Amino acid sequence: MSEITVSTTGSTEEEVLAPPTRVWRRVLRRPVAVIALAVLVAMAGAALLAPAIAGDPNAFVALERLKPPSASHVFGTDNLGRDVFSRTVFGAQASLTVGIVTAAVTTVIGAALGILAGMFRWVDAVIMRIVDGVMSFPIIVLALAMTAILGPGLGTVILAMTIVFVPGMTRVVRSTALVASELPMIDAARAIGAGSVRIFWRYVLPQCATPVLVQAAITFTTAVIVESALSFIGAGLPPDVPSWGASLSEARSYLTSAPWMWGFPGLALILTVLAMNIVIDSVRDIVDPRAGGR
Amino acid sequence: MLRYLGQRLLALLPTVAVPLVLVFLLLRLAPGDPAAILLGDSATPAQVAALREELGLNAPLVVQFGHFVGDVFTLDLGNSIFLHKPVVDVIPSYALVTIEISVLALIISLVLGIGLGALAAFRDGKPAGRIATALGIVGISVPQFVTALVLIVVFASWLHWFNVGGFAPLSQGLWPHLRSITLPALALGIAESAFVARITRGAILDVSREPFVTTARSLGIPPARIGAVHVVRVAALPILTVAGLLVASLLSGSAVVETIFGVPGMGRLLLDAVSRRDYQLVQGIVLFTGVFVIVVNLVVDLSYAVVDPRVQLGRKSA
Amino acid sequence: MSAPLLQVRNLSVTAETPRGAYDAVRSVDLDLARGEALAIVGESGSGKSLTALAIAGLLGEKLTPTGSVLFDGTELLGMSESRRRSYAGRRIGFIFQEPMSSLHPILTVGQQIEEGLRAHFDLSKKERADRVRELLATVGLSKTRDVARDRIGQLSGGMRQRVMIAMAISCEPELIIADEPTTALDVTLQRQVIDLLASLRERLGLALMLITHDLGVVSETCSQAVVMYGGEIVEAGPTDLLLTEPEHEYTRALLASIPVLGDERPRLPTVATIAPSLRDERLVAAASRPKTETITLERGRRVRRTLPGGR
Repeated sequence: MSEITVSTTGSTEEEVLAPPTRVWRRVLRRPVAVIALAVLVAMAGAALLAPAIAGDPNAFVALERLKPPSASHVFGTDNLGRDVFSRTVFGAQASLTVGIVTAAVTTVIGAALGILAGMFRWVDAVIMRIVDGVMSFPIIVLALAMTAILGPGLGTVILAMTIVFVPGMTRVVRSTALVASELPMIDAARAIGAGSVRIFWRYVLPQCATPVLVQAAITFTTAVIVESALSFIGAGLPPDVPSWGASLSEARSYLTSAPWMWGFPGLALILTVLAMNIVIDSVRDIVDPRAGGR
Repeated sequence: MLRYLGQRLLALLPTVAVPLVLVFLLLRLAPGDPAAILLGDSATPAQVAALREELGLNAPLVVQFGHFVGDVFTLDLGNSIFLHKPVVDVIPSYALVTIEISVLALIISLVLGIGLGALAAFRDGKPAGRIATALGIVGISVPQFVTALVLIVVFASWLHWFNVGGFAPLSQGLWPHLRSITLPALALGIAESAFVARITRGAILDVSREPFVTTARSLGIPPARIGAVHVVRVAALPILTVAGLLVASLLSGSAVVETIFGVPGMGRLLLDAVSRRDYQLVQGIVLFTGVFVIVVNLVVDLSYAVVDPRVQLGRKSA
Repeated sequence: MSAPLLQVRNLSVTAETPRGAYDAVRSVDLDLARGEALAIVGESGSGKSLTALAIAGLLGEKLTPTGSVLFDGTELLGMSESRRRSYAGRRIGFIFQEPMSSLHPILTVGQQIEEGLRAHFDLSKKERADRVRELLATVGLSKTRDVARDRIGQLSGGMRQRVMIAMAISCEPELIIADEPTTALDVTLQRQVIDLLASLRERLGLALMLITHDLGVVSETCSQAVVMYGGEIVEAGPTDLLLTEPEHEYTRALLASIPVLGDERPRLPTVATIAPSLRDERLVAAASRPKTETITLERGRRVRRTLPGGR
């Protein structure tokens, strides 16, 4: 829940100049990163193929309550007799969707704001003040407050998370754009007569790719964790949507009596976030080989 | 010093201003009549109209905002619909509990985190260091509430050291009170310590590569002293920054953790207020949270100035 | 003739890179007598800094020195870390190139100098403070009490370099290795630092190993000089001979490239070399280097000659 939403040191030249493809290739040479990527792909695959590989997550058979894992129910059943495997897989669908959508929206808005801030001094002052302020506000408190007014649901959750995550992306884009615009290549471009717009589009923007992607990945992991926490306390996704957070909440009275109820969804959640964090770390290691800790 | 504090205060104002404005706007711009929302479904049109008058909802938005700001400064935050008490009376006792837990959690996360991070840094590459580093990245991938559940299983169910759900206020004695806040604080603290550990490790490793460390070696200063005196002074800065960020995370997490352990803190209060559509209370909690975050950040900024005296001179540090 | 204070034989520094091991410094031999001044001259990437660091025992990980470095008869390479510490600062002092990054950003000047004193002497608090002010005065700083309380960010560039020098001599070493002490300074400051080093040498009887690429400084301060290129010594000997009658083409090219007032040629001569860099991915493989030998001429001069047909 507390993964920093922005690197504390800002973009460096090395970060900015590393093109995603080259970084990608070097990431693929690290065994741990490859395993992590495989896990992510598996999760995404499970989420996409959910209807095909798992039964109805809401179908419950009262007689089959709280059964441990068996041949017919690979992850066991929960307190209502629902198949835990099915709920876990459909939960993946929910969580990954929220994560990706939040990351995407945050990236678009944050990038737009960051570019504006980088281009216009006065906009910069205003935007950065507001942005820095919001960053420090506890996200769950904000999300709950908005839920109170707008009603619970997917939209409210994504909106609240976007508000808190946009500042991080804005800062990354802004500092990256600033670093990129100071590169000698920009002077060279001006020297051959390129105009500002062209310079921006063809020279500055492409250089921002790697830091932005890293920040988007960080946003993703934080969004997944926050959404699961909100669903856990009942203020996130609607109750009829299976989610990891909701599954964990339902298991609270059965922690020791039916550990599979919370063990499998919990493990799925942790593995997804861990896998993404490993990939993020690997990319950062490659891009800036100084010790991590950003 | 005062000027520095003043500057920092000004810079931090949006932290409370933006969420408050957001809540203010949402309440008035969201679909539905705010007065009707406030009174609930069973209100008569006459009651709604009366409340609208009373709350000044018929005035232009700007005027309303002016009143709102004025009210905030006089601490008139309205009344809690369900508790039938002024908001400012309701919040303090809950806030105290949350602050207690947060402070305890902060201490735990700093002690554990800095210890783990330092281990990872000074034994970098060796088995102990690798394990510590791995623990760090796994730790940040486990949400706080999962850690809480695990702690319950281990400490309450297996070991029976603690009970879950029985919160003992201070009036019932110090020891029972402490027992009831230990698990929540542990859950939060352990979860955040991984983050602190990663930052610490990174900071120490980065600083150890700085040229002034080579200079210290050239003078024959023992490595223990280089670490404790030369490296720590500079590495402390990013760690201090992190402590500030932690607080927001702890406040967020306590909403969830308080629910799990049945502790009557701000998080629980907020949840109840949200489910009962007690808007004045929600607003009050948002305000309080924002102010609290600002205060903590100011304290962190002050500590900066102590650790790195260059800050006071207006220079950028590190 | 007494034994030299420093005797380096066949010193090599091997760097581990992701593409394999690479010899950044190869077969360096040099001698330095007590109180003598030796210059190591070369361009960036010639290996001069690494040689200095290797002698002082300050190489980072991934850099391994081999060969022999005898200091006052004791072998420094391969020494245990605690023994190295007893020599560092106390017998060999080091002046780094960039004082802004080589001095601690937060500790005060006084605190930093005291750290060195603490490592080697058992002094009371007052004795340490007095010694600090004494050292600062020795390097030409006035208002020593104020300077001792300042942080390096509050000092000017010249003052910072003087503080660096004060730290290097604080524990009364016999040898000072100075890695490009004037490169980061402007010309007037350069003059002051060189003069300071010269006067300190005289007063304290220090031996000096000066790393530089500035031939003018070399001719003024050092009686012996060594020219390095590509990690090897290409020519060595007494400074006056080296500068007036260079034997190796590289030395000649270096000298020829010094701009002279009144020179009316349209283009300045340059030295056409590409010094292999440790970061260069196209590392020069050992096999493609020409085979060379070192021949000794009069007055102890040595020159590296390429063997005919050897490549």
